[in-house]
Amino acid sequence: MIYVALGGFFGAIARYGLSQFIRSIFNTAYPIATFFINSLGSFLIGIAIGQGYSNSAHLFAVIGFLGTFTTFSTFSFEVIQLFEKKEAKKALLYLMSSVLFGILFATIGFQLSY
Amino acid sequence: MAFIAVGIGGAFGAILRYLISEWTIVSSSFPYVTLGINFFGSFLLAYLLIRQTFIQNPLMKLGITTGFLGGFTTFSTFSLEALSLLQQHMYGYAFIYVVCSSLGCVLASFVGFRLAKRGEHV
Repeated sequence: MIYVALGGFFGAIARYGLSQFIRSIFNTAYPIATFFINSLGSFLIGIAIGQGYSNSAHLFAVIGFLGTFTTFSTFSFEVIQLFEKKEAKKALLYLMSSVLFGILFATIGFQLSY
Repeated sequence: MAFIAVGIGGAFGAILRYLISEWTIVSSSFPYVTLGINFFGSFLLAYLLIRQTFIQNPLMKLGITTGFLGGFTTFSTFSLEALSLLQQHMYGYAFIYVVCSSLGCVLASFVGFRLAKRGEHV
C-alpha cells in the first residue's frame, strides 16, 4: 500500500504542476491541460502494461502514479462547465476527443512496448 | 504548500481507489469498479467546487478537490480497461463501458453542480 500512496503523492503533484504550467502557456477556453494529461497518462499506462511490471512497480507506477496523474472527475466537471457557458459544441468535442484519444494512446503505448 | 496538499490528497485518493478495487470481488469482465469510482468522484468534485463555502480552508479545499478526488478518479485505467475489452473482442461491453463512463460521469458531475447551486441559494 505504501507503493500506491507514494505513486499517488507524486502523480497528483505532477498533474497539478503540469496543468498549471500548460494553463500559463495556453490560455484557451478548451481544457487542453486535462486533455493532454489524460492522453499522456493513457499512453504511458499502455506502455507500462505492455512491459509487464513486477507487482511493486505496478502498484507504484500504474495504480499509484498514472492512476492519480490522470483524472476523470476534473474531466467531467470541465465538460459541464463548457455546457454551462453555452459552448455545447466544444463540450461534445472535448468529451469525444478525450475518450477516443485516451483509448487510442493506450493502444499505441501497448503496441509499442509489448 | 499547495503542492504538498495536492500530493497528500492524491496519496489518499490512490489508496482508497486501490482498496476499493481490492475489496470488491466482481466476477465479471465488465469494469464496474472504475465506473463506480469515477461516477462518485465526478459527482463529489462538482459539488465541492461549486459549493464554495463547504470547505473554508483554501489549502484543504485544494487537497481534497484537485488532490484527493482528482487522484481517486482515473482516466488512464479507464482507457486501459476499454482497450482490454476490445482486445478480448468484447466490443459490446467496450462500447457500453465507454458510453456509461463518459455520459454517466458527466451526468453525475451535472447533478453535483446543480445540487451545489441550489444549496448556495438556500
